[in-house]
Amino acid sequence: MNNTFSFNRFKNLLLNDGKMYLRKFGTSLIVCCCLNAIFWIINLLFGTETNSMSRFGFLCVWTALAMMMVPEKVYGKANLSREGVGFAMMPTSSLEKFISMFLYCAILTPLIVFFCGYLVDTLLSLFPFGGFEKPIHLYSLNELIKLMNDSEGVVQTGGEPGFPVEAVFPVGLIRTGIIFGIIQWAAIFMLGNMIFKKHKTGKTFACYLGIGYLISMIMGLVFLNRDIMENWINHFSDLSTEQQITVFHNGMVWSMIISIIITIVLLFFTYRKIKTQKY
Amino acid sequence: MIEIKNLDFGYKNQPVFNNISLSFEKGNIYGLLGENGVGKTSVLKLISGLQKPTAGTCEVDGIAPFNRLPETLQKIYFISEDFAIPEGTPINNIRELGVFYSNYDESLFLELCKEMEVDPTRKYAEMSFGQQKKCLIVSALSLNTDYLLLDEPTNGLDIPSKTLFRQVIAKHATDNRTIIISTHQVKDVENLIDPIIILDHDEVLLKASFREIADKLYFDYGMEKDDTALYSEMIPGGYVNVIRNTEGLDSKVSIEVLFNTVMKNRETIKHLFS
Repeated sequence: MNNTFSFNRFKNLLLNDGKMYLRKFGTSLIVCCCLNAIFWIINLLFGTETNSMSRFGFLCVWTALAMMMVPEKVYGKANLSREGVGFAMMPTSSLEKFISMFLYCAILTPLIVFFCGYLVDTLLSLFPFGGFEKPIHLYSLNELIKLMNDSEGVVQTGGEPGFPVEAVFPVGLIRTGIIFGIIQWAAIFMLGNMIFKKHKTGKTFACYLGIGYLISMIMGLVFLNRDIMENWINHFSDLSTEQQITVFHNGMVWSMIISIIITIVLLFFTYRKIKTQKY
Repeated sequence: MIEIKNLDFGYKNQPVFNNISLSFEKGNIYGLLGENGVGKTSVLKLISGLQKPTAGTCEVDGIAPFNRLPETLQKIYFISEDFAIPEGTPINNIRELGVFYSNYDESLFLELCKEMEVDPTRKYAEMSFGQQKKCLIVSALSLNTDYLLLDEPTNGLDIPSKTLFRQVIAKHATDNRTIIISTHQVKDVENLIDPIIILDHDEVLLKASFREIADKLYFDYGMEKDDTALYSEMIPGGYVNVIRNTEGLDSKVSIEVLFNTVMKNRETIKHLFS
């Protein structure tokens, strides 16, 4: 018997978790997909208009909200000493349990909420008596880059001649950033779900804000130091445009690498918690 | 076979076991007895892989259960005393669980439901505690695991249910299956368990079969109290005196009296059965 991964066992686990997912999160999922309808109703009642860009933004917020909730709703009992025994003793490997949890929390939930929400929004925008003026336009990354560049194809930076967005943010880098951003958001709440015993989503979000605040404080103390900033600005203005682009680009790449490392670490610790949780 | 060797275990700053060794062979129904808080449930949790030894080893068929390998998990089923109530109905629940156990037998599940007088299509949430427990026992038996661990299985069962429990367990105990019943309600499992393990804080006081116990201890049911006995207890119509069986006499072992004898004569019993 393969004790690490078996497709047959994993298939059974996916089906089992799928049933649990629908049972425990199905209603929330439907609500999250239909939240944009609130704006549609308000617009119908008061004759107002919510533009498609705002609706797109809200769709992203609902997706993020659903991702925050799903680990606790579906796998909330996994680390509880009494209720978690069934999860721990199910004859599947820790890796299979982790992958299944990852698929439902980090892949399926954002896909379902975003695209079903988009579908609901589009259907409502086709309604002949108003509500939504036009459907949400899903921009491709290239289109977004074009929008970010001005008519000359460059970003203006404080009146100084700028440089093309794609030079600093190549499409591949943006795509990786978005994917890992989504996975990282899911990973934060998956780990929080395995660490905390009660009020898992709330506590995880509070920790996320707390840690974010702490990091900003430290970064602020370091980078807002007058001498450091002056030195850095003087040094940067001495550089050629190409060198400035390289500095920004490298900064982006490094922040992406750090973000990927953080995501992997969060996922690894979630797996470790599944594997070594005591009951 | 389950083998525990030189095992240390505790919760945070509270030690439970210090260097204990135990083994459980296949084909037996073990009775794990002991006072409250001696670690009966901890033994079952260690065997199930829900807890990890601090030192020493605990192995199920040569594999540490805390590794939680599917191969090991497929062999063990544990019903905790304070079990979580499953969702839905027993039949749906066992069908979802059964796909992970290669020896799951649905016809056995339905047959056992009839024997234990429970309705598999009724929601767990609508059942009494006793019915929920009976459904879990039925589910556990139908999964046909090699090791079945039951923590206080008769708690919450009424008298007819206790009888049914004994019958069902006795009927489905096979040579390939090890059943470990942890309980302090020894009368409920009398005539069912053999061998007996009596745990004390930090140590195993006794591990012996009924035959071995009867060979070494004589349970004398009489009118008089014997002052030389290891232990005497008043019973309706007289006394039961537990004395060393030096003459090879045969007697009926009372688990409750044995338990009290062991508790009052820890060192003597350990020496006698070592």
